[in-house]
Amino acid sequence: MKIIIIGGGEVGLELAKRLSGEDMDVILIEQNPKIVREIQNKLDVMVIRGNGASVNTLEKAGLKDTDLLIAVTQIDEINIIACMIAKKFGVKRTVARIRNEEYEDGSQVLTNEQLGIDIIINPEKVAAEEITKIIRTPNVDEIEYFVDRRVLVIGFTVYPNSKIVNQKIKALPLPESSIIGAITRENGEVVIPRGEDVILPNDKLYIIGKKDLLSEIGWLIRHHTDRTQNITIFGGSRIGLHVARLLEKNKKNGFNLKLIDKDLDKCKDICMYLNKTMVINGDVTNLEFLKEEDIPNTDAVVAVTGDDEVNLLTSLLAKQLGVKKTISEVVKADYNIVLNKIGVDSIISPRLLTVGQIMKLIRKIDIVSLTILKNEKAEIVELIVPKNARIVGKKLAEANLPRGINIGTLVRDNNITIPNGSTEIRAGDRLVMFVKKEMNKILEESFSAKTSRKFLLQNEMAMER
Amino acid sequence: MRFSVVGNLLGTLLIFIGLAQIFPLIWAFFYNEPDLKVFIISILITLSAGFALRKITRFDNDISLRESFAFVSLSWILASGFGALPFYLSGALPSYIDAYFEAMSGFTTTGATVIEDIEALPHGILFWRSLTHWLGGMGIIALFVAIMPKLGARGMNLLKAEVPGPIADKVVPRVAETAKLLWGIYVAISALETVLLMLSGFSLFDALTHTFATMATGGFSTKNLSVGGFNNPLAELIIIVFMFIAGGNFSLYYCVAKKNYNALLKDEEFRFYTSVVVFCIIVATLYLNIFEYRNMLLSLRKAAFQVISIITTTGFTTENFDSWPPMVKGILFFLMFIGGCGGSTAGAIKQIRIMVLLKHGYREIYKMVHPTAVIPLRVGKNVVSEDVVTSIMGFLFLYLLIFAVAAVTLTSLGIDLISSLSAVAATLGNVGPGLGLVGPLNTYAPIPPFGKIVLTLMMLIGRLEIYTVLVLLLPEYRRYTYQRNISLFK
Repeated sequence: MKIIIIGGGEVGLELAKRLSGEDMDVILIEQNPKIVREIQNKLDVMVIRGNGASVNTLEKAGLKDTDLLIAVTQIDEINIIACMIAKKFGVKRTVARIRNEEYEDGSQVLTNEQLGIDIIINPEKVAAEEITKIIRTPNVDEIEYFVDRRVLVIGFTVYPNSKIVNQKIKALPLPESSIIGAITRENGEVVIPRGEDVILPNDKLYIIGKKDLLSEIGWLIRHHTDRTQNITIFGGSRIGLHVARLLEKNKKNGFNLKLIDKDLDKCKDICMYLNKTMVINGDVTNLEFLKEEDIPNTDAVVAVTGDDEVNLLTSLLAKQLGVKKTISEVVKADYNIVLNKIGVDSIISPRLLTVGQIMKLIRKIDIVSLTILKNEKAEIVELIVPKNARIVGKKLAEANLPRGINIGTLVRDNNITIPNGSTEIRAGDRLVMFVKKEMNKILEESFSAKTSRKFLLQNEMAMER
Repeated sequence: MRFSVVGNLLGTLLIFIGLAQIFPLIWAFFYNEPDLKVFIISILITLSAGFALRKITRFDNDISLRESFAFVSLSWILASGFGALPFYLSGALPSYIDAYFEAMSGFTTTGATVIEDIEALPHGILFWRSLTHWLGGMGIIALFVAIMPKLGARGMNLLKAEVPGPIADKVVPRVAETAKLLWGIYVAISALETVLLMLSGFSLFDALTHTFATMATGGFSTKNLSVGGFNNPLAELIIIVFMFIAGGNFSLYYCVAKKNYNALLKDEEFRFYTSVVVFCIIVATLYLNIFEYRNMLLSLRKAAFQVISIITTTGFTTENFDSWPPMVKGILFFLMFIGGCGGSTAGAIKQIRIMVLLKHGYREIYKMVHPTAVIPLRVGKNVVSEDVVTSIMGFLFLYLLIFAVAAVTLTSLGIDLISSLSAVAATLGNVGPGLGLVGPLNTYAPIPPFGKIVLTLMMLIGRLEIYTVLVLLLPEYRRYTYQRNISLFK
């Protein structure tokens, strides 16, 4: 598969890294010569220097036989133009990052189809949605919905003083039709648990179950569900603004919102978009200021200043002041290995969220959704079993799936069940499973629609007609 | 530097070298000559060394830049070390230093020999000599990268350390695919030459060995008189054409294969290369016609062959050019410094560097009159960055410095000046035959052992284009050996 990525920023780089890691031919277009050189030394991709919205550059990159074009430059307009050109040249799929919502809402004259954009990604918006999700369920670190919000995966950390520490998995009284799908350990290891495995302190458990799982396992999570009322957002970045707007819309909870930014002009600008949020101009790294602004009595702090280090440090600071819940945006992957050691609660990575959206496009199987776990070593994959997949008609015990693939739930005829060894997989089953990164090849082998040469030929002939 | 990681890769490389010796083994078996046993022993030694190295070390595809350089340089040193075994064990070269010289001369596609009577050697040994050329031509590391896709992005660092020329570019997005493509083109052109040579009357054995030496711009022949020994004008013509092709940039041939003929015709380096070759051939032909042969066609035949053979750093000969008039000898001597294009299999300084230096020189003169002018240095449509220009100037300086030091070292051993200068120029440029004592009719055998060691080093430095080898002299490489010991005990 040949993929062109335009823009070598955080998202572009991460995509290039992952896609080239999955044996794709990746061509990256970037304008800044310094970044070009850097990527050339770091990744096994072809880097072309130039403007991604120019036909010349795109033709040099071989647009004609490209399967997927991903435009993720800083500038929305370039991304749109690149997709328009790509569609004209017959690129099968185009993805554009568009942050400015004015291009996205219904008022636009040209539809996305006319612009040639198949999929729009807006990392900041997705991140903001993720953050509001966590704020509404303050005691978990991660929460993901699957199968039209009927299946739920909750990720939470087991604190050292929890009563389930050192217990065996099978001894846990989990509610019906829910299991532990995966555990990420403090040392970064991902464990697909069996009954005999023991829960260690600081493990992060991923429990999968039906939609009312959260209330059922409330006892497992550290303390009783406190209502989150007072929320302070550090930083008036795009994410900060999105979060504030989303929370403002939630009339039921009636949050008390504060937003702090260092830049006075930015504060003034943000005020225009927000009605109920109190916008404060100040420095969030200043302890006196934080105390003055009553941070110790805040329930949750969202640190989204756009600077990883500031986000992490101010989260720790807020935690120290007595804030119950902190959510920090961390863009860089390099900090992953220390994040669960330093004691911040939830981490949001717009980069990771975007990458998950795009990675599902390139897999050979028909994936409904793909979520990358925070430590990036495993994924939650939701898929519908195709008719002629190799696994169809086999019982799970016979299918010889490796231990790194764990089917959490199976949805058939609207019934949600946990499959066991004697469950037979049928076509049309909807599965939510935990997959270790290195098991993707096997996943594809077992769950991709088998296409014989004859079948492919017929398809091609039909296309030509 | 982690010795374990480098050691593991080296082990894999040795296994390659061991397996490559199966081909001469087949010839030895076919002719049922005494070197059959030699190759079996040599293969066993090489393979077991390779497997042993892999056993005591562990693979890690995350190779640092530092380790890449160490690996590339050490690969060539080790490959020659084990590649020398057949020469040494068969008794063709009783001294291991001589055998090592011969193997290094093969892998680096120099073509300088220490064997007095080549025609007396068994077929297996002759085939191995030529095969080392062919493997070293496109590069043993390139082959390694092509076969080991696990290396990923790090493969590019390895490739860069080996590929000739100041700028290494990928033709396709993946390094492994790029290496495979380049090797594929190399194999395809080689196959074509072999067929053509056989049509011109060569036996399969001669056609293969000469193809290997031509395409790699090596220069080992199976005759004492080199290509001249066959006295076959048609074969000479074929070899002339293919030497010229081998001196061009192989990624251009990929464009041609994709039917983009303009890429070749419009490439500024290729045009420069062609003009230098044509100009030198015309001058040499006219001169030879007047002072030597008094026959235009014969002069053209001899001059064209020799000029192309030297400028592409092949080193085949059809005539004893040492007896030619001094002017032609002078041209040939300086051609030894120029070499082929970047991205070719040729050695020496390379056309692209010469071109950039000429343009830079012109720019400096221009700036005397227009001191504030901002003049980008262009090759084709692309602007060459100042980093590259500086790196090329550093290269030229080091090249000349090493040339001078080595030449003086040789004279200190009692070798006359012309022979010393040409011997160093011919080995540092990976050409092969020089003038005087090491002229086309002579060999490097009479040079004292210490001189041979110096010249062996010249071949390695020349092939890996100085920086890759010299970087090992940095103090870091010594300091990290110490740390390596600690991590071994962990």
